[in-house]
Amino acid sequence: MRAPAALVALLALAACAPAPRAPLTSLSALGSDEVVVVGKVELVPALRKGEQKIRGMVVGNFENTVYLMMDEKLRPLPQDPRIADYAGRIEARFGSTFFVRSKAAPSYILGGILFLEIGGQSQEKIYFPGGFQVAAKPGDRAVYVGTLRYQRDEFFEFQRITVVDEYKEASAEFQARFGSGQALRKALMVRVKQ
Amino acid sequence: MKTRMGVLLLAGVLALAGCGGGGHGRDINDPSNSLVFGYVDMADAPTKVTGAQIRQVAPPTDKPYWGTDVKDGLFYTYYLPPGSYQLATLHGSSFLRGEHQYNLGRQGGDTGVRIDKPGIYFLGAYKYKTVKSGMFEQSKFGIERVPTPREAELLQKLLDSDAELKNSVWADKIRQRIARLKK
Repeated sequence: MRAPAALVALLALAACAPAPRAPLTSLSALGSDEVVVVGKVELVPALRKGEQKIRGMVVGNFENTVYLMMDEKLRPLPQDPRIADYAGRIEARFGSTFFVRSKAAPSYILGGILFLEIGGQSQEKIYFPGGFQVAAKPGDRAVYVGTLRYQRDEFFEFQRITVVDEYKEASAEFQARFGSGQALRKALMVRVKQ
Repeated sequence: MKTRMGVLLLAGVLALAGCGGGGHGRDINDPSNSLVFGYVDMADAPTKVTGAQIRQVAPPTDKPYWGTDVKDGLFYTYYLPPGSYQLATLHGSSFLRGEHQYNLGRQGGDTGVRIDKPGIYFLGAYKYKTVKSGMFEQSKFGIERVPTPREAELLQKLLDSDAELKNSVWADKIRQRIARLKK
């Protein structure tokens, strides 16, 4: 019987999943070949109250959070990502600016995954289109990549995906977090043809 | 041909609350009702279909699942108020293979309908497709849109097989719809 496979997969993800990109609180914690990536994901309209159902004992950040699946090479995100595909993901809380440690080199957002329902016999995932390049480069210490705005309909079909420049607001948050005088280079995400 | 993917669950006993054509306490002759129906050919599935649920995705509700009546693959409900809906689950059981629940994902409008005004809405005819999955993966399946049976044929079947429907305000509406489709 394979019914509990959803639960097994989720437990495996919670227990064995490789770490996400770590949030950063101090630039001095960055290695010489590392950069802090600053950005945001927005879902329009936002999740309604009760639309996401996380039940039971769940380890991990799932609430109002999309997992941006990253890789150094652009490739299609599999329909059922393997545990290894979660390595280096960005756990982006909708509407909140993320500051995550990354390698100072180009990388790609392959797509996003929102766990809409966890618990019971199955899990419900929503897939967000990807194919965006994060153009960090050697020598960078901080890169602003923009706000990835997903506009959806009631069936979770995405009507419009845009990269919005909110540099001013993000820069203010960046300065408040890491101190004034720190440079934040603007390099907005670009959608790349696969 | 686009295939809508889903997850197949096998269990001893499944909670089938909401199955059957329950209308959340609404009257069959309520003028704001819509008739929503569809068909699924389960010839290649482990079981026949004995129940189906439709999920209300808009407006928001605490009770999003609407049961349907099912007859030989034809599923329908005539109680839906205006809103957006999609086919959510199919159920079936067989003596040898046990109870099955076929869950269609939440994402995608291809088995969905937006009801702005009361009327008759056809979700389409589909065929069950087996999808290969790994040993430790959830069992998967797909449903693929097929051209037959056609809407008029299914409406006629509905009219012929459901006495309650035949004696309701729906009978005339269905006949009118069939006539329009046959023009």
